[in-house]
Amino acid sequence: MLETDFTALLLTVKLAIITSVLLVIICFPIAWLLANYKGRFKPYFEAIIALPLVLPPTLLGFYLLVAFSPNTLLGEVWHNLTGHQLAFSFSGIILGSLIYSLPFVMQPLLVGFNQVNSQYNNAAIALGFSTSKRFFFLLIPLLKSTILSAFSLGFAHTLGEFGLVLMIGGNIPGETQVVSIALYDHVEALNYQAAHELSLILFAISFICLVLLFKFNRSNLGFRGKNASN
Amino acid sequence: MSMLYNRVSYYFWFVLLLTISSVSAKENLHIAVASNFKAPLEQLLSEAPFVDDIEITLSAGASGVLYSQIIHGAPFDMFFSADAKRPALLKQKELIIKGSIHTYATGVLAFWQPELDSKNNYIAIANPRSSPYGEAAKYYNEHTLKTDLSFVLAHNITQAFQFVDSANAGQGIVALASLKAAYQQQADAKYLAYKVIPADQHPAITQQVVVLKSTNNLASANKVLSYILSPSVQSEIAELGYLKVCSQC
Repeated sequence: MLETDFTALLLTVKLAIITSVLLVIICFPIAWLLANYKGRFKPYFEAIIALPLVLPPTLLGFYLLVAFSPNTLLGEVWHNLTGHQLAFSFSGIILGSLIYSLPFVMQPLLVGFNQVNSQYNNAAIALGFSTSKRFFFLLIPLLKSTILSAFSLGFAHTLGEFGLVLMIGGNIPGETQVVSIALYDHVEALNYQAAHELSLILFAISFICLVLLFKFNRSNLGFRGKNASN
Repeated sequence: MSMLYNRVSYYFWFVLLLTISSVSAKENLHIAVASNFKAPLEQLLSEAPFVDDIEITLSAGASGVLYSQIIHGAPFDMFFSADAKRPALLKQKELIIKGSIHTYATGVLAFWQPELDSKNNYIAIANPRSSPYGEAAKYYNEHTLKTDLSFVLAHNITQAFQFVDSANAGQGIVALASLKAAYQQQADAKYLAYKVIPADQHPAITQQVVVLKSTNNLASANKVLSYILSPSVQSEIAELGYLKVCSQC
């Protein structure tokens, strides 16, 4: 394997881990609020969350590129805060991935909250548990496997990210050149041998990720099964 | 009731036959074209004398991707590549009609810096590994420009333009054709803030076209070929920001 491919692989895994950890932290409270919210704006919030699922990554990438420009508010504020610009940087592709993978982390969490909310939560309320106590001592332990599947789904989805990074990355090794871009590069440069090797590795990593995901999901289903029989 | 049904069904068959006959009267030609030449080609073909006789479908994409599709049997009749390397490889694989390789345009590079005293130290170029524009830009930098700015690699020459246009990169080595097209559309003075890089300061950006062996429409393909290579069309291509291909002058 080429050294640049190894760098790209490492960068991709780093990107996927950071993105999915951040997403779990961001999505957990939002999913909790949304699961408890019964107002008439609920479908609108749900739609906003599901949007990145529907929109092509090229659309997201194009508008992020426009938004990252130093001439816009976002670009200017970021530049003043950090001294760097967002386009062509690792922070930039993290921000892009956060949007791109959001629904994949949010959906499992929403489903999880909806399930535990009804029964255990009512019991805890009846026992006089406070909201924060319920959150930390009931929901988080109950949702452990849900959080794990949300994390791995976000991780797996970020691994395969392409269109968005292609639009905002600028193909800088060690900074924005993720595996999918390196692969595209090999194909474009007609270096099919390197493309095959890298594909094989990516295939193996993705397969292992998905096996782990379904393993966690199985235990999640098992928990639900017992729950239903009670 | 049954008379009405008969009438409707006769009408249906009549329309169907009419459609079939009109479809078969028109030749079909499927052209693969490098993204950076799609818009010019579309425009040139719309003015062609055979516009009513040949139904042309364009598939735009990166040359490398189109090449991979062709060697795996994509049903194209012609291929306008952004370089000379891929047509040569197709020739090696005996996938093209003999003698059908022609240079249809030569790319011109421009150094573009929309804001003169830009503090942005990114310079956008096309990826030298896959794009002849990028290769030429890299060569120009190594031998003449020798900049210490940080390079951002776009996946093709159009994206290099986009990076500078959106102000994410302060400067770039882009295609003159992109700048001309943008100025034609928006007449913004920033599209004029460029310097053309002399052709002798970098390897030539030769864009070649081939007719593929798998074509069923050799006659139509040849019509398109000789139209594109005709002196009047070549002058038009030159106006769009390329060097014209001129074997006699």
